[in-house]
Amino acid sequence: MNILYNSMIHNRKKIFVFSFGAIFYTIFLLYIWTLMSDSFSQLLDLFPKQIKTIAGFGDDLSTAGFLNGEFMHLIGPLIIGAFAITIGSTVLSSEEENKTIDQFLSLSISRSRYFTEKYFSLVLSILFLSLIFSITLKICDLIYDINLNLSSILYSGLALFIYGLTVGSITYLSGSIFAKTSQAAGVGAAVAIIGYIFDSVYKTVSSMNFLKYISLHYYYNDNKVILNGFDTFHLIILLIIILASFFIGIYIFNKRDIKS
Amino acid sequence: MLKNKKKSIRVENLSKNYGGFKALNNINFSVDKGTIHGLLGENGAGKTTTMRCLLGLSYSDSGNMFIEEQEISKKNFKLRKNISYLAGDFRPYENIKPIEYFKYILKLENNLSEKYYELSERFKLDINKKIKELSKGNKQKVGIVQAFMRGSNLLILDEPTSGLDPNYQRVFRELINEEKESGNTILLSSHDLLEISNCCDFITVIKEGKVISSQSKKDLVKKTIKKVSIDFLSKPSEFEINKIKCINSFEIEEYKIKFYISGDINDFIKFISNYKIKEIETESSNLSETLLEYF
Repeated sequence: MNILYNSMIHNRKKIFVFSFGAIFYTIFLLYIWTLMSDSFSQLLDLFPKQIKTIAGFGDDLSTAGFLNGEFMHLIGPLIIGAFAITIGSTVLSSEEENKTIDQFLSLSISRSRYFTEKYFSLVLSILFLSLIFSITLKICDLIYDINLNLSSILYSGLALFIYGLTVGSITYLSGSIFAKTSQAAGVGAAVAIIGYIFDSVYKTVSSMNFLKYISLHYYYNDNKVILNGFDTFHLIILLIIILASFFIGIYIFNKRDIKS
Repeated sequence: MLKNKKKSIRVENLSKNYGGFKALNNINFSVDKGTIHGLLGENGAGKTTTMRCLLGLSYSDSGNMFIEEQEISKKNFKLRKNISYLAGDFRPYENIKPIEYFKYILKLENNLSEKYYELSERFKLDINKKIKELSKGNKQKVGIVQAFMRGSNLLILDEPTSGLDPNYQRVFRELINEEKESGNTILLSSHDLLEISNCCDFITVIKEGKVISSQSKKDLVKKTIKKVSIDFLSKPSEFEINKIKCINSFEIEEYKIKFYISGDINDFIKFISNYKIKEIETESSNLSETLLEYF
């Protein structure tokens, strides 16, 4: 567990910065909601249906309905996705890029152990940020009295965690293939951005419906998790991507030369 | 005597390609236990690749490698418990102190050694200063300390004295000799002829991915070319000189002949004793000059 612990210590600044961003954004967003909740339906009426659909707003005018659009659809995955890409792209491949890994892998520890402990530091970091989101939502609920039930809070945290872990795992897999931070981050960002675009396109252009099947965003929140809970099938798809990324990554990392 | 020694490392027909580039081409050599063995070669000759293959950082395309007679394989990573490595381009974590770095490495293997205190003292290394604040030479000392602190039987050191000043190069030489006295084996690579000729018992020369020579220092010293200038009163003929095997070449200038000799010089001494000599001057080239011929 020393590698995992060391990685967490190494990532502490990034975790702190993103946590601060998550707390600030959540508090700010819900403060805005308290100011505009009464006029929310009138505000939504100003936008065409397609725009509302792309933005993730439905007919639900409750706090959870607002959060589904503002928080779960866009900014939440943006923050957790950026965090997962940042950690996923650096936690292993930057060690190879900086050549610090040579000394550790010349010890009597297996590459699998190194890979796995580094991966779990990614998992724990994303879990931590998801918890920060959930805890902040709960605190805001108590402060602003916005009637957000506990299951919505837990679902949102868990959905963000699963989404973040999927993006992070794909990024980590790319890092284990290319051993380059920039390439790993590029792949992770591309998967997240394309997923968001495809999700928006399929919602507005019916002939493009097939795009949803190759969009992470669709599997993450098509069921409006904060309102309706998880779609089991979608959850399984994301878990398969996570596990596949991990096992393919460990296989490749064990097979190839460490870059010199 | 050394031939009967147990082998610490055995490399058989090792080949490694990077794309179309043959980094190692069927190389063979072995390292006796309790010796200092030098890998010598130009930059890019294949020294580092050989070491990385031994440590499992790179995988060979073909061939076999053995450490303490156990075959190196991907699964056999526990073999490295008794191997210490210093990378040629040693890069520690920059944002921590050497003491934290040493403790972290030791913790990874549950090693309770505290040898790093003594070693840091010998190299006058400040272990409480952040590594990023250390000079290049001091960072190299961090690498040397981490390699020696684990109490390994085999040390694989890639360009270990790079960046060290002459005083600490001497401390390093003392250290590897102490390790040798304790029965430990050292495989070190360098392109510094002087370093290799001063430190090593055995020398393997690698050129363009091939082993072109692997022999003991004693044998190499025998091959060292000696220059002998003799001012004869009665000089031998070229025909007679050519008959002497140990004479590699010679230059005649009237009665003065300059001989370049190597190997067993008894025949040469017998030969010149047949002639009247006015003056003899000898000049011996050092081992590094001999090694230079392999480049």
